[in-house]
Amino acid sequence: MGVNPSWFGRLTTRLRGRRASPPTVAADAAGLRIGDDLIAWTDIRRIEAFKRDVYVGESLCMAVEVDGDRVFEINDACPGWDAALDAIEGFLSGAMAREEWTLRLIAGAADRSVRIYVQS
Amino acid sequence: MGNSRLPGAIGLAGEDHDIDDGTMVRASSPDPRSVGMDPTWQSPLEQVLLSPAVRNTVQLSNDLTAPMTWDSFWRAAYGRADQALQAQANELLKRGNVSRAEYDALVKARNTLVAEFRKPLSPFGRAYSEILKSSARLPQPGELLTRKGSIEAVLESVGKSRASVNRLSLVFRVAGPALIVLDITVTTVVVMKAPADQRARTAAREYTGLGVGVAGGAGGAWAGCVTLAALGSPSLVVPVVGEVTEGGLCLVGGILGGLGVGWLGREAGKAAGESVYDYVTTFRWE
Repeated sequence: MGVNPSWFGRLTTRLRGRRASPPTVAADAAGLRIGDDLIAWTDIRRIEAFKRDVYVGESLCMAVEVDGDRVFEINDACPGWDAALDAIEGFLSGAMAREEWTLRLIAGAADRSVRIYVQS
Repeated sequence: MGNSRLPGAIGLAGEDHDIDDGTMVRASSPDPRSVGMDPTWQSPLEQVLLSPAVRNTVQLSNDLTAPMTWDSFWRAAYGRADQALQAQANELLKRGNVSRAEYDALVKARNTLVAEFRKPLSPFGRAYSEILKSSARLPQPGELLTRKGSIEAVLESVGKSRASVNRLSLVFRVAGPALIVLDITVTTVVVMKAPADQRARTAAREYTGLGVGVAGGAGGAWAGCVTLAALGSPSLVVPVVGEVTEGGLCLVGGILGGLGVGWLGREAGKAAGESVYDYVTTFRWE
């Protein structure tokens, strides 16, 4: 059984009422930066938006699939989320407009995802 | 008048009289006394048989489920409110040409809705909700995702998580209120079965136990959730059980913590209720 060695640290963080902060998202001409990882725009193969059930309420999320079969997930609680959405629309040609996919996501059924971008 | 006789005492003249002996009791009768003074008499409520096992099961279950029932009703209420938001978004999509201001207003309304509905949650509900939020970086090649296939694996996992949360919430919405009613009923029966001179003291003990037990269950569920969830990692695999998520660990921890601390709370509450009753009833101004 793989037990995370930082269990005590994570437990004390939670007990002190601190939240595990979501990663910061930033974007520029070089690519999309999620936490410490930089993803070049040309490496992005697919982006899918979906709603994650958070017991009471839902979190708007985005899964970013990049070359090498890596998948990153960001959500609307990530600092820089708004700017990143604008950047995706601006830097990835063929990406769906954020207004459209967000509205589709909010309007759609809970289990429906919206495809924002697919590398051609 | 037929069959009449002169007034006077009967049985003194030596004649026979026919007395119907079927109207007389042919068994020993209790001594006459005032009604309701028999100490061996029991009211129908006092005759109710209450097994300690049933009583403890009901009380323990309610300590655990009361906070989760509360949260599940808030989940249902959010679902209703979200339908209105969905309808609004659909209207905007049908109309087309949505301005940025309209879009911002809708997203802001949605975020406010989520925040407001999460405010009244129990500590367990808030912790569980936090845990259900996604991790920033999903398992990488060599871990579980490569076996399922990237984004599809994420969506599949999200769907499974939603389905299990839905089931859990439904169970609590149905079973929770029934258990609350049952617990109050069982507690009341325990109080009513107590001897009359002990009834007030028993009531203080049992109802305080009920209140503190439910509060203890809420605290225990939160503590169990965060303690066990901290064990989780995206690739945690337990033999036989298989892959275990933080959300699953939070639930198991919440149930164990709620039961354990709920029981401790119930016992502590009973002791406290009794002590307070004794203090209040024996206190005398000097």
